[in-house]
Amino acid sequence: MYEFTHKGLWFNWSALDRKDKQLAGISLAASSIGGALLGIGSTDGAYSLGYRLGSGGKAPPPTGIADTFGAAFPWVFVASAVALSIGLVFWWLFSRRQDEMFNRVQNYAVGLSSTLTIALGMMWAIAAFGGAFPGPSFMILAFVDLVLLTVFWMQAVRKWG
Amino acid sequence: MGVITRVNELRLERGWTQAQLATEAGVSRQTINSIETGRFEPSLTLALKLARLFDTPVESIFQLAGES
Repeated sequence: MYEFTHKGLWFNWSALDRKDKQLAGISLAASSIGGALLGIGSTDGAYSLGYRLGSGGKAPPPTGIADTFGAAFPWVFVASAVALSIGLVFWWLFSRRQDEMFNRVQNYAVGLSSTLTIALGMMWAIAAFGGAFPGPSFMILAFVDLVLLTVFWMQAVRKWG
Repeated sequence: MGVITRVNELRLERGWTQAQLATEAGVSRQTINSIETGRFEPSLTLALKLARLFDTPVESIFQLAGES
């Protein structure tokens, strides 16, 4: 059964049973692979956004990332989506085997971080209608969500754990 | 309004460790620790499970703060 350590940032691996370790291990491995692929695939977009914001809207020079992968470039995103989906399904299976405190912490953190990220995305999209700056960036919103998730997870562990 | 718990007292009376009680109740040792220290209020299902394990009514384990 799951036990929080490091203020909720990690967990006591030895407290998990064999099945829990299997599910968590597959989930973490798949998520890491999916995250790495997404990072590689999104480099162009993130660079472009940063360049536009920093240069007052000028078009960025090409990075050549897409050329490096050639025809396989779109498949980087497909592979990333598949790996992240596998990670999500196995984490869900893992969560179902944990107790109510784990699920209360997870529900609190996921619920609050998702709500705030969606609100930020909507405000960003509305503000971008005028064309003053680029529309919402998925990568930046995903990063913000990850940071908020970590903050609210730690807050919930401090409160209940 | 908070909840006052007697889980720690009842567990010690029976000579059980937190890990033993956690295994019997199907939760983590950390959850039992948090219930005992009052940081975590269990669901009705878990409260009833604990009452069954201690063989005592649930209201003798958990009471609303301010009630005698």
